[in-house]
Amino acid sequence: MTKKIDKLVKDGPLVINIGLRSFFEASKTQGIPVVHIKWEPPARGNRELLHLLDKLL
Amino acid sequence: MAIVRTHLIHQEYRDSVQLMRAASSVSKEIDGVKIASVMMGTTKNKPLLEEVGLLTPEANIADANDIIISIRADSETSAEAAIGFILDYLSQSVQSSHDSTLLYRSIRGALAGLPGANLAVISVPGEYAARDSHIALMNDLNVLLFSDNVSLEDEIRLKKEAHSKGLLLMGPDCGTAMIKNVGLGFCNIVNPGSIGIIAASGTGTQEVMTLCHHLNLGVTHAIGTGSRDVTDAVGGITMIDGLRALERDTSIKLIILVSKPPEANTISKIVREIRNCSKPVIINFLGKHHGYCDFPNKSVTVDTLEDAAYTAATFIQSGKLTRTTIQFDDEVKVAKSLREAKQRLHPDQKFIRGLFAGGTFTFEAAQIIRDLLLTKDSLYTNIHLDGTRIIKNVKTSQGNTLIDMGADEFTLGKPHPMIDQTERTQRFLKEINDPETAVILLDFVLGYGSHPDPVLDMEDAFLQWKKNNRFIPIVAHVCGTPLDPQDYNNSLNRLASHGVITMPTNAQAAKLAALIASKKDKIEMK
Repeated sequence: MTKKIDKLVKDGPLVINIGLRSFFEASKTQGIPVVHIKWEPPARGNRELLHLLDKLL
Repeated sequence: MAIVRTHLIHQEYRDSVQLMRAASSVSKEIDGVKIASVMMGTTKNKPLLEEVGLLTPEANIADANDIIISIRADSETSAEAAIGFILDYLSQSVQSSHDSTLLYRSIRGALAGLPGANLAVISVPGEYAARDSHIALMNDLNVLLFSDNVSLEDEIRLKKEAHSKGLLLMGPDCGTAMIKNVGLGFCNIVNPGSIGIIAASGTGTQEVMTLCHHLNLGVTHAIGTGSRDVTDAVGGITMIDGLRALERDTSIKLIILVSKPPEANTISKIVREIRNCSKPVIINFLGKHHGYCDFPNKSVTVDTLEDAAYTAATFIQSGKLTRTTIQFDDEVKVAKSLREAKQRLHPDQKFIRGLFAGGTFTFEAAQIIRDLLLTKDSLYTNIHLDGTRIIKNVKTSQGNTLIDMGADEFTLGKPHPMIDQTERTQRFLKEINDPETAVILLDFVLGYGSHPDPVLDMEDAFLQWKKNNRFIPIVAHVCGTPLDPQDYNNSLNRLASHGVITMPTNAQAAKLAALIASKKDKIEMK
């Protein structure tokens, strides 16, 4: 079985960027396939609520 | 009397780099602003506001999705102007980001938008980073985890999960990586080639890859492990998976490994892995002198990042795996600088003051200066290295002092010096007014992620330095290549035009600074 890590180094990165927008822009500038997730703290930053939601999922 | 004003933007999340840039710009653009802070209303950020007296009742009710703009200014007019400036700044960055690719809200959604995606680059606040990394791994994505403040337990759990699925998890706190010549995080652009790097150090990777470029070598991969990977608790999972991946990649002929020395059990595992590797490996365990893992034609250890690059050049050119070291590329320039320093330095000027943006640059310079200082004076730093002392007050130099200005004590709630040099500039002005300063040592890091023109950021300070009656040499190293988004050659030329002595590597800059402070008038190494 080809490891997924080998496919990454062979094919090059196809990126999902989560967080700093400047990293998304740097990947775009280098011409690689990249999509950006507009991230915000889940459950409005309420850790207890997030923990409960994760349990439900 | 100073006044404090707070303005909240409800339910509008922005990343820390955008917010810090806004805060940094307003301090430079609006007169009368004493402190400007723009941050999300998280439980981690509120104590930072409280510390500087900006946690007003209004700021205190903000939640993690609210932006808190806090200003301390000389007058109501300045405070209002500052808030207006920041609102404009943030709305402009929203307009420039209107792009259909920004619509994704989840990893699953993003995977639908980019089928075949194979890497998640995660730079969310540390408290959420492990959760997002786990989701990425569950979706068969390799992960570059840039975020810091991820717990050791989470790191171990995530790395084991990645390993069991044949995925790579780089980080946490992985600042730099390159996959198939694509730079990720803070990364320089270099020629592609047959070298693969594995490193537990961001700026260490950047130094080795840029020096390889200048030596006409090419680098295709740089796998970042995160600094805790080589502890026995983690056991080098990413370093070993990375080594094996480079071993299997037929485009790679030579591997360079850079890290702080691994802990006892992990170093044994890594040495075993290197012995089983069919490709030659050059090893720089920072702070450790060579000779601990040398097997003929298989592996060689070196003392510095520049030695790693020069040793790689020897191998690529001759096929021989031989440790290659140099003292200085340009001995004439060094000799001239030493003669001038010896003639012009006042007897009271005795000490090196190093103000670094790169953590590994601080570490490497401390290692070199510790070994070279020809005086009995101690070397004080805010990093941990045998033979040096921890500085009592990180804000005030004592004797020979090297400071990593990217350390937590400088960057809590403030931008890293690779992004904004306000703190470093203020410290520089303090050092040039200290009668005991003999030489100032600086690094400038180019590449994606870094400030668009770090030299420009310090040019006002250099003008003040030139007006100073006291002669103080400045020695600087620029880590970059002509392929970087910043103008590498122009950066060097502008530094030289100010009278800054530029050196081609961090190691050579440190060596020159040590010789200047020792008041040697010729190249004479211990």
